[in-house]
Amino acid sequence: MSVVNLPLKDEAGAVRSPLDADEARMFRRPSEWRIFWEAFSRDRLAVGAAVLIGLVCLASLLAPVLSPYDPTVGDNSQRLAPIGTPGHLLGLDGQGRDILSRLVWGGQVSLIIALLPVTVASVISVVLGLVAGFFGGKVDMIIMRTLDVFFAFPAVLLAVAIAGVLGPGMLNVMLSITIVLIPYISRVAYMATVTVKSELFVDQARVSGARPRQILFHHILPNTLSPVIVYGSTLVGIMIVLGAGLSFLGLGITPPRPDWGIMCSDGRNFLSVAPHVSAVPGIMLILVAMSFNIVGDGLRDALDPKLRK
Amino acid sequence: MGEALLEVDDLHTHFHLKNKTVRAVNGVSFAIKRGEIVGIAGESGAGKSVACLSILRLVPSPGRIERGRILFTGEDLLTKSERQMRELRGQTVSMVFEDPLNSLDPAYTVGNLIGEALILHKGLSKREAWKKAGELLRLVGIPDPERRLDNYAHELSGGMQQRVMIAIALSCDPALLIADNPTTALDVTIQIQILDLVKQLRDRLGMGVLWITHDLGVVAKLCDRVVIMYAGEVMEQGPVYGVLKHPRHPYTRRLIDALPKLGRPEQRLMPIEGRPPDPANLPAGCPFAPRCHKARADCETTEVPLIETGDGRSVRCLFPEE
Repeated sequence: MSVVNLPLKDEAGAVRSPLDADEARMFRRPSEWRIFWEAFSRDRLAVGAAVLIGLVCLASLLAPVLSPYDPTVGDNSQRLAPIGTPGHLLGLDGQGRDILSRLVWGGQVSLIIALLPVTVASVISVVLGLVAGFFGGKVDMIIMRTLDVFFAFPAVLLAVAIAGVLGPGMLNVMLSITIVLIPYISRVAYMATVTVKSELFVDQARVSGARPRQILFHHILPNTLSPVIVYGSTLVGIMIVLGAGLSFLGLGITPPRPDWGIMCSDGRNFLSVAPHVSAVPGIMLILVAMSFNIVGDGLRDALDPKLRK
Repeated sequence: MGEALLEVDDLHTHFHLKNKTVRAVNGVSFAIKRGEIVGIAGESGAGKSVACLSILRLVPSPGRIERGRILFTGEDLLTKSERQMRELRGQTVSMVFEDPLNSLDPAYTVGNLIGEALILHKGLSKREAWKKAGELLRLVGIPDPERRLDNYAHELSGGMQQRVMIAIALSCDPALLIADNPTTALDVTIQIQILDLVKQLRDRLGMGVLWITHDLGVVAKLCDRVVIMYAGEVMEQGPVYGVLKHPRHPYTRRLIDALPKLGRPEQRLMPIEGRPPDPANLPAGCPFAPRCHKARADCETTEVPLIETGDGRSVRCLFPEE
């Protein structure tokens, strides 16, 4: 007698019509995306942080429309004007450039420099970590030992070296940040893979006759993603700062194009007389970096069924 | 009933470590008929689980099946390709583990977990699989099954989780269900429910069941036949009633004596002194001899064969009880 071919009977014993209650329910079932969103939206702080990131992104995108002045041209007569100066909401910097305009334009650069490399590096790292962790043995040796070599250099120094070799420019900065990030994120993905691989549910999949490919993508990958997402989102904040540092060293964005890092460093000479020149972009940096961390935590909680509710 | 479903013949599974070889399973033979529930009982480390993983050819590295034959419906599983084995796993032979919570992937709902094997082996569509999953949950006695399909494993109770595991194992109508200590993590009332459920399902579906446990109480309640294992060898096997009522091997006798009995609080428990032998360094003779109160000089040196004693029983002892 077959289990799966049991006639569909309800308690009274009557054979049901094909469109029965549980089938109807199946279509009413909330999608994974809905479930995730409901869990995430319950985390007020994370939603707030996400809204802030969204606003900053939007403002940066709309920089050409929003910025009241040209961010590269200064008004020498009003240098270092404080916050609240008529016509210049956030004041002017040491060369008389409107800080609000520079902030909006600079956000474009800073966000892309941080987001894109972290995303690209995460994807590459997940592949590397999964392959190394899952197959183990020689593959593991080759991938992870190669990545270990990168740990021999301090991250910032390595980024400087790579950017130095490639020459200045936004694309090169992003490339160097990506390369620097890969060993770190790979390690996280690798550790998660190794942990998940030894879980009993992987054995369960194996005794159910699953192919290695299925085990890898269906059971291991989803369970390794959340640590990578959390780690990646905390890195975004740090990478905004690192990108700023590279620009400061003349390896990234070339002045007069603004970026939050350059803006912070521009103000360092006037810290005692006009602290707002450094403080405004600095506060933005901190706010955005923190927001990414908070969103990362919220994502983790919402992505993990065990932490929901 | 009657026809042999699984015959394990002289199975040796060894783990080759750097400087020693652990002989976890050492010449085990037993058989399961269709519709029969066979229990494998013994202390921890007796090789019960490894023997079962050997049947599915999933012995973890560095373990290897050294010798023997595993005949499943007459075909030797040890000569099959990995691809053929994958077809078999979860479909004709399925397995339930001890720890249900950790055996269920936390990233998926119960419906998806049950549906997985159905989609994999039976080629059902997602919709069909979902519907069958609901049917299976009803079959294993979960109330309100359609709602439970949306639950994640950690949202269910231990007994429910084990029922889900059984539902997954049954999803593709297995001919043989292997259960590795599936009720150890459950309290006794739930345990009885699960045992009843398995018996019912066996009667209804006619599959063979191989039940690994260290609880002779479970064996007595559930099984038709029992295999007593010790240090990777079969010590005694036969119909449950006979073996538990009139054990012939001193080890079986001592196992039964070590069981706490309800209603006789004045009786002292009889532990078995000593420890099982190191599986990397097994004695030449009977592995139980060093702990056996009836052992004589011969026991330590002579390799003892498994002797049939009639009425479907066999015992590995030079001086069996009558």
